[in-house]
This record gives sequence, C-alpha cells and structure tokens, in this order.
Amino acid sequence: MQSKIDILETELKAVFENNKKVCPPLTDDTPLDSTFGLDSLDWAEFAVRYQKKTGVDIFEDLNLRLKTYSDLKKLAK
Amino acid sequence: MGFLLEQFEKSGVNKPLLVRPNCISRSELIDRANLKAKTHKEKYMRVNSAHVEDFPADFLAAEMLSIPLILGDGKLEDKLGEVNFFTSGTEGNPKLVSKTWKQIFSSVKESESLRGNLWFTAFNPLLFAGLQVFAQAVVSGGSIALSCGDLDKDADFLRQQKNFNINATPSWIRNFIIFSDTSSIEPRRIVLGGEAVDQRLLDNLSKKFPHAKITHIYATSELGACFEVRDGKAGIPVELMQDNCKIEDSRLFVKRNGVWIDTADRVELCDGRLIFKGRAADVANVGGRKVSLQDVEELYWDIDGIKDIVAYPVKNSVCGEIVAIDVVCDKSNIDRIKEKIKDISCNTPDKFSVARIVNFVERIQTSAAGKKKRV
Repeated sequence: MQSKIDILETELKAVFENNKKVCPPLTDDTPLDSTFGLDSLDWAEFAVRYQKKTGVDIFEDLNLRLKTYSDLKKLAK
Repeated sequence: MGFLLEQFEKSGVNKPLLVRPNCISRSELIDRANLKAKTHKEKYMRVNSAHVEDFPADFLAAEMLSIPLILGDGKLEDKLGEVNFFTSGTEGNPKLVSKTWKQIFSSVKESESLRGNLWFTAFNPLLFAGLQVFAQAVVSGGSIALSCGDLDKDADFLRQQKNFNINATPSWIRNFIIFSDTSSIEPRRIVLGGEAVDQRLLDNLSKKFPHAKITHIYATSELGACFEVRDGKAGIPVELMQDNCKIEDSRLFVKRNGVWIDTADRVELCDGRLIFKGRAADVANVGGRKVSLQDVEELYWDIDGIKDIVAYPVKNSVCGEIVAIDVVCDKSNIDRIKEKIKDISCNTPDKFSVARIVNFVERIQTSAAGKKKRV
C-alpha cells in the first residue's frame, strides 16, 4: 500500500504533468514559492487529488508555513 | 363528477390506460379507485415512486374523496391544493407545487393523429412532466407505458410497439441511444423536456429516428409549458417569446398573470434564438469566480469519442471549488481523449473555467426526475 508521502509525490507530479508543466526535483530543500511552478488552482487540484486517495484534506489545518517540500511532506505524515 | 373522472369517461375508449408496469383498463382503474376510496382513512392521499403500479387509481380515489393528492415523499406544507407534487426548485431544494387537475390538463392537445397512441414516458409519473404525459394519454384515448429503469428492457419493449411516442429528458434519451440497441425502434414522436436540449443531441436523434417528429418543450412546474419547439434546432426562436419574456442578468423571466417570474435559467440570445446555458445554480465558485458548468462541458463536448459528459464543482481548502468532469466513452478511447482534454485545458487562456479533475465513468448519474446529476 502506498504511503501518504508516496501519494503526495505521485499526485504532485500528476498535477505538473496534467498541466504540461515541468516538475522540479522534489528534494527536502526544494522551495515551494513561485519558482516551484504551481499556482493556486494547481494547488487546489493537488489538494483534491490527494484527498481522493487518502481521505485527508492536506491543507485543512495549516499551522505550518510551507516554505519547502519538506514542510509539505510533514503535512502528509 | 370530478374533473379527472370526467376526463376518463370522456375519452370514450376502454383500452388500457396503463400498459406498463401493469396492463389496466380505464374501467378497472375506476373500480380500483372506488375500492381505494372506500378503505382510505387518511386526510390526504400520498403516492410515492415505489407504488406506481396503478397510480391513476390513486389519483381518481383522491378526487372521489375530495382530499389532497400528494405525490412523492417530501415535506408537506400547511396549505395543500388538489394535486401536490415536488419539484427540484430553483436552487436545488425540493419545493411543493400545488395545481388543480384542470390546470394540469390545460396544455393537453386534442388531435386525431394523437388518438390511441402509446405514450412511453421516462419521466417520473409523479412529477410535473410525467403528469402532463398522463393527462395527454387520458384525453387522447391512449395508453401509458412507464420506463422500467432498464434501458435494454425499455428498448425491447419499444421494439414491439407501433404508434408510440417517447417522452423523456435529454439525459435519459442520450443514455438510451448510447447504451441500448435502438434498431427497429420507430417512435412517431419524441418529446424532450426538463433540461436544455443541445443541437448535438437533436442531430443525433434525427439520425437515429429519421421518421420521428422531435419536439422540445420549455416548461417549469411553477409556470407550466411555456414554449414548444419543433424546428429541429436548439433554443427557442425569439418569435415565440413575444412580450411574455425578458432577460435580466442573463436570467430568463417569464410573465404570468401580469407578474414576472424568475425561471433561474441562464440564457443568451444568439442568431435569433434564445439559447439555454444551464441553471443559474449550475455554477462553480472557483476562487471567487463564478464558472458556468455547462460552459466547461462545452469545451470538451466535441472531442471525438466522447458520448456524454457532466461538469460539477469539487470543494477544496485552497480556492473554494474547482471543476471536475465525468466523461463517458469507449474504454479503447480513454488515453486519446485524456490527452485531448489536457490539450484543450492547457490551451484555454481562462484557467478558472477548465476541468481540473477528469474521471472516466460508465454512465452519468441522473436524478429521479431524469436530469443529469452534478455531483
């Protein structure tokens, strides 16, 4: 069974692919600012995809400021 | 003698009024109504979809007892009329509508060409459109056959019939021609209502049923039938509108008894026709932007191989809602269509108005009223 981290990565890549955007390398330090390449609609799409697979709204309780990919992975744990 | 019973007697025939689910003659329905009236104890007569085996008898019994007839399981109100049924309402909440039998029968047509026809209906017989078909069958000395809910069985049934008319929503008949074998089915008439009819469907129906006269009716439970269009084109010609209609904020208003009624249908004028763009409620709120779900469907409808499509909003914490689409197509075409959808979405400048989620499904769900469900 896929872990939530694996699902996170799969669905994130799917959003890039779906919108014909290039996914940057997903390392812990990868910044999630505008250079990451996703706009708010893309993030919304990701949230819906992730929730469909896990049942979890990853952005529901946003106590953490998302600066890097590592921060996003923390939400998925 | 009550109005409804008088209509039964007036038609002057004793052929079965109901043919499907059960075959019951007019006289037997009257006998059953008398029996029901003798044993009924409640202050109103309620009929729901689970018990339509001899529904005209229930209608008659209520009239015999002079008690309100309630069609469906919804919540009642204090004030009840002769015939009370539930409609989806303008914003999706079912509401009770009351009419008299005289009002329900007022738009029935009397014509030699309609005499003795079989009226096959996929409309729920307990909703307004179904009641219109019932009234038409009674007056024209014809019979009613209800859809059994299985398209193949409906197709087999219709293949054995002559002199019949199909009455249905566009969504029902679209599913019918996609999923059933409609060969050797020759309706005299096809009457569509309940939803906007698009040109694509009208053209497909003309090809499938070249001998059928196709009519689409614009009606609401509150207003009754407003327009009937038989020219093979989608929308309503402006000549039919006269002074009884106006458009405000892209919404259609119809005048009844001197009062302007908001139909909650979104419309636009195009080439001398009023084109329906969907219900006012059929929008997604994407990051504060109102996006027409019908417009999103239109973006992808012309992709070769798509048989049916529905757009609907999906909630999320980031921007309120985004738009998803469910698509029906042959499995062998999925990959190609997926790519085509992606191309169209990426090449559409307005990113709010594209489908962000795409699902491939066997069939689009429809409501009890036979209309596409946007869920």
